[in-house]
Amino acid sequence: MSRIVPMINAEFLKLRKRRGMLALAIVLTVGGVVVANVFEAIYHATSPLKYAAAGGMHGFLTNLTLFNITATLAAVILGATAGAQDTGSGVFRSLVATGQSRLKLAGVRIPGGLMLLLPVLLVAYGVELAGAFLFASGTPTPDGTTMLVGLGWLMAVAVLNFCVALGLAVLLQARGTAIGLLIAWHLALSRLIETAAPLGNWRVLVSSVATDRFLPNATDLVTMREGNTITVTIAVALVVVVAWIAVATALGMWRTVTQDA
Amino acid sequence: MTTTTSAAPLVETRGLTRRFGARAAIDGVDLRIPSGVAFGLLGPNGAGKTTLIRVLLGLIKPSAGDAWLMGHAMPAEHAAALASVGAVVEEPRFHTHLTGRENLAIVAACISDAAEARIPSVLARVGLAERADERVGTYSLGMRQRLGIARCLLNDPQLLILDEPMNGLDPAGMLEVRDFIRSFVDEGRTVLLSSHLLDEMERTCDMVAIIDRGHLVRQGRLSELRGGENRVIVECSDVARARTVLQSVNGIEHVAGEDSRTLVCTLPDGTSPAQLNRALVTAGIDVSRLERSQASLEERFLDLTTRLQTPEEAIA
Repeated sequence: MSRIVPMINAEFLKLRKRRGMLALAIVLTVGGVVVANVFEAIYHATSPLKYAAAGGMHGFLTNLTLFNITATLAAVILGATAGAQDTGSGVFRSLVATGQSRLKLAGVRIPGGLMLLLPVLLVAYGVELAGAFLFASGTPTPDGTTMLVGLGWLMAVAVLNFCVALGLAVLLQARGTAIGLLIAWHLALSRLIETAAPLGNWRVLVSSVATDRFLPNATDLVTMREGNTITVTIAVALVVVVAWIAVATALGMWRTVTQDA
Repeated sequence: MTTTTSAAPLVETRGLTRRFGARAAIDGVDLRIPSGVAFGLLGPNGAGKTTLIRVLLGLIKPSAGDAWLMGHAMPAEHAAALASVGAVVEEPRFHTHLTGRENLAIVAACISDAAEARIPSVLARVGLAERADERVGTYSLGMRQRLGIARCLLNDPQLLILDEPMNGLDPAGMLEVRDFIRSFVDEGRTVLLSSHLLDEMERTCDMVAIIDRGHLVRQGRLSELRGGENRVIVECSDVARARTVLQSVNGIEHVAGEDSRTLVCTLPDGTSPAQLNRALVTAGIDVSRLERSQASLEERFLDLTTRLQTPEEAIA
């Protein structure tokens, strides 16, 4: 009989009970959105001509930039924890000694972790949408399509970054190192690559370039940091996102199957 | 300590070898563990006991040789083999942010619904029912050892593998673990435990294997390993002359001086202490004590494990 569902629940339990980490993820995402909306609302209230409304379509799209950073960070922290916690605690050996398939042990980490990450991000996204309507100040508000596209973008950011962090943490068998490397990737290396004009359209392989294509206001022509534009279709962006997830997951599974316990 | 063993071994290895780089942690190990016994794997630290257990459980792959667990080839048939095996390898490790009960639940989730249902009873069996809902981070080492045993009882195993289960336990804790192992064996099940604590192994086990520097140097029943009843301690007036006399008696082996008045020798089958006494008295040596003696496990252990040392290492 398949043990997949109980094993996913067990992964969820392991993460859910890390209260400090869960609190950090909530503060980063939900807290970040609340703080951004409140500050922008205060700025707008004190000087409406100088500062645009915190909400409305404009405020919604602007806040997604901040949300991108915090959601990525939360996904990286949860993913790296999900990937390294069994090995780090020494429990991996006991799990292998049950005779359970190592592939299953590796595979259930993804749904187990996403069961925790996605609700947190959905709450934050809900708060962001509420802010978009609450602080619209008479400006146009996001329509249904924009809201759905924004949700799709959020899912792409969350799943990609979670899976990459998980795979890297399993590969390195070190949570802290994986988080550090991914922060370095997002803050420095990926930005450096984005400015490398000679790379042309190949820059779509950068994960954040691919996920940004799913933003509600994105088009096929994406302006890079140095000012050039590259062409990124939805299909290409989707392939890149799926490839990142697949490669990271495959590497993590390979390591789980081959590592000494 | 009487046990009945069936013919088919629960654990069998042939030429089992595991190398880490150029170093062989275990080398050509041929092991047979029958069912229904407490089997001790005895060896100094770094002898290869834990590596052997890890290979048996499929936690690491062997470099050469074959292993069978519960009649299943390892690691090819690990799922079937491990279905009725419980194991604690080295110090039991847990998610310290989870409670004892939750730690059991995450392992039971990998096993079966029955294992999940068994959690309360195994907690009660190891005496942790009242502390089960506290975080493992607050547990003492002894409590963690007990929780480790509870974890490997989840699948109602026929074979229990305990690696250094006495480590960190106080005398009362050791007694508890010993009683638990004996009760487990009395139920007709089998326990393989590794340790370097000779006294505990002697008290707990029916059979032992001695492993040293990756080689299995001896295995058998404890009584066989200790060398039977053929050792005789001789206390006499002139040890030097007595040694010469005894060495001339046909078949007497290992005449060794214990101190200035005592000799220890091993008699061949069919030779009685009376013959030895007669030879000494005839030679004019006064015998003040003649006593049969069984070697302790410690003596046999030291004897067997130091044999493998080079003279330089023995001196060091």
